[in-house]
Amino acid sequence: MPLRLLTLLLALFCALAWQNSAEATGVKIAIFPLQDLSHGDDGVNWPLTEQLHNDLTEKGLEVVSRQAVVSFMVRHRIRVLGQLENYHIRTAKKELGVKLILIGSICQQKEKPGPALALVLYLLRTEDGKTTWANTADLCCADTRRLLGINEPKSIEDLYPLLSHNILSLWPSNLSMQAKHQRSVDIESAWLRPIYLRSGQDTLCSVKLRTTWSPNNQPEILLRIGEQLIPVTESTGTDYYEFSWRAKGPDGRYPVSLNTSWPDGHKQSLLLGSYFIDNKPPDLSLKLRGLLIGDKITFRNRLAIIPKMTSREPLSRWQITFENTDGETLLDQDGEGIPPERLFWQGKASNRKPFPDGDYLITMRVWDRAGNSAQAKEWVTVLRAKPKLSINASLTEKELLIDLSQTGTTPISFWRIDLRDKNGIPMGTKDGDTLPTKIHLPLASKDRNRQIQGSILVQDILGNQTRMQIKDLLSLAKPKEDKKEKKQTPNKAWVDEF
Amino acid sequence: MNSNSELPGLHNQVILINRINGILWVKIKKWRLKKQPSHLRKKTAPERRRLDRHSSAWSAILLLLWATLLSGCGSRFPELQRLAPLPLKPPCRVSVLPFINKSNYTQADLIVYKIFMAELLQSTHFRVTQEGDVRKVYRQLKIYPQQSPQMEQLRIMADRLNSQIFISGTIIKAQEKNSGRIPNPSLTFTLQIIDAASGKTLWNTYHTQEGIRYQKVMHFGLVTTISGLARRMSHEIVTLWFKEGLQPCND
Repeated sequence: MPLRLLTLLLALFCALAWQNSAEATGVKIAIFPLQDLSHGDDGVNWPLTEQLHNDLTEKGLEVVSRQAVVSFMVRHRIRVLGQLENYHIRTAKKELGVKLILIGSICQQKEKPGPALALVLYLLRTEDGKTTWANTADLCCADTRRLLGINEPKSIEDLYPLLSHNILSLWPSNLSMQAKHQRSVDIESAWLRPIYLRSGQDTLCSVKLRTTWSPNNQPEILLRIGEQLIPVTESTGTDYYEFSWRAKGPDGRYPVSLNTSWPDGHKQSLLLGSYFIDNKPPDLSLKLRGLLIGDKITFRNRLAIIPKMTSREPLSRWQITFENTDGETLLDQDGEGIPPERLFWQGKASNRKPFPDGDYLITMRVWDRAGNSAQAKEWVTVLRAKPKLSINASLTEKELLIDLSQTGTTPISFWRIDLRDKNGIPMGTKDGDTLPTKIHLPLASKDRNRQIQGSILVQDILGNQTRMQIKDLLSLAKPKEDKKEKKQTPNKAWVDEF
Repeated sequence: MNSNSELPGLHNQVILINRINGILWVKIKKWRLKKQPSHLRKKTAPERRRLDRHSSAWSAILLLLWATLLSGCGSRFPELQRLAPLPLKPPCRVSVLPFINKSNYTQADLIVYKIFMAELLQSTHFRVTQEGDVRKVYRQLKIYPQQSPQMEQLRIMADRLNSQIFISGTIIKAQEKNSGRIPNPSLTFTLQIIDAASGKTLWNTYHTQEGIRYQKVMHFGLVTTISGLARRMSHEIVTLWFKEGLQPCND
């Protein structure tokens, strides 16, 4: 019983399908070459296009020849398949005399692991450019298994007729050719330059229209700028409608639209774009990551420069310059867009030569999209001088007193003194983080005539280091007169081994 | 892979679960035990009837379990995220913006775009802008492929294409792999419904699916191509949108 019902339903469906296809007879249709995505964006598939051509002809439709379609495409420079602009659809109606256009794309076509094919078709009504029907079909060899494998498709080419039949079996039953006629202006190109500007600057709008009108049905073309309506005419020798004006007003967005007004009163408005008036310069400040010594940011080999903007705003370009105290620009760098989050300066010129110690002015300038500029300046000190030390020693009965002090102004980070005897045997280490300081070194009476070597290391807070080697610390404690005397009185005695 | 399991707590029923070629087969076997346990033999007739009722209840539970197991092999549904309410007036003109491909599958964006567009057109509720017109405006506004339009560009597009809503999409994953000897494509993408006037995203839909999940019995229902999978997934999304409140155009 269910089998009979199924057969009855199938017969009814076939009868309806036949009736539906019959309804579409006599309609002129153009089949555009199928886009084959399996061969890239520019791929074309002629065999399946031909298959559809034949199948639709069999359905009773009047199909435009392949040569006529290709000629139309060449004439209108239609390079991409599988899609059409509304303008081309309407033009096809005039030039090819078709009521329908069939376009489509082969989404997939593969041989392995088994032949498979997928097709999407769109049926377009040329009267109003509407897609009246669309469908997708996919087929692979596994879907077409037959008893004992008789007449089973084995390749992609075998699938073409089956796929064409499958998708066309879903052809719309009743296609309405009636469409509401809509007048519209087709813009080929439109631009506004500049888009971001300051009040008082000139801006230009240029529009190229694709649509043409008969002289007695010529619409009036107007440009709406804010609340103003300005009539524009086609420039002689070009197809452009151009208008230039001086932008004025407070900061904000100003839309520009193209208004068309036909003699019968029909009106249409199309937004061309917007321009933005911006009179406010960006809010910029500079933050330097160095050490504050006195009231100056000081660094030795690496300074982080951080540009800060309180209100976020897209920027068109930036520039940073480094000047000495004479106002001479020693280094500059620039870039497009927003500056980097932080810049690092090693205190060197572009030729990698270090800047001499001193004060330098860092200036950063930024420009927003409207050309408003802002700048921020900061002084910075480069200091690579090593800490200068002064060492004095005095000898008491029990100890050697070493007086260590610095003559520079940069605070020190640490100091260390290593003491050794003349044989290199360690006698002790002393360290600290402040200068001046007094180092007490206990000395036994027997050590008073020994030679004590001292190695001193001092580093300031910037990282500059001073190292000193003193061969005999005790000699520092001896009176200077003795030394002078020693120098002044040469040894007159004969040397045994000359 | 074969695996048989016996559910505990049943005296006269055994459920056999076999997994053959990725398909789950459930078989309930029922028989009378030759030698019943002593605690059953001692029961009176009403008690036995009560036990039979219990047995029937167990059968119903098992059937439910079987149905649940089968539905587990079925399709996953698209996930809809409502970010803002849809416009009060049902939209009539819709533009589908070129999709963005973030997968490794070349042209997955084009394939899904064309198929989704066809599915949307089949709903016949909207007037969908020609792909050629959308791409023309993209060229005019210098919006490059795989780039999303900015707010101002969306405003211009809304006006020039005379659209009330935009649909944008991103292909996250597209893969043609095999599950055993069966081709099993997988596809993941998101679609957004954008209010053309404000540029605000109203709905976001995420859908991920595998071809094998449409398999019913043997090879029936099996989806072997990305295109076939995209078609079914697009249909599910469009159906969901209408079910969840996207109103068809009245004009």
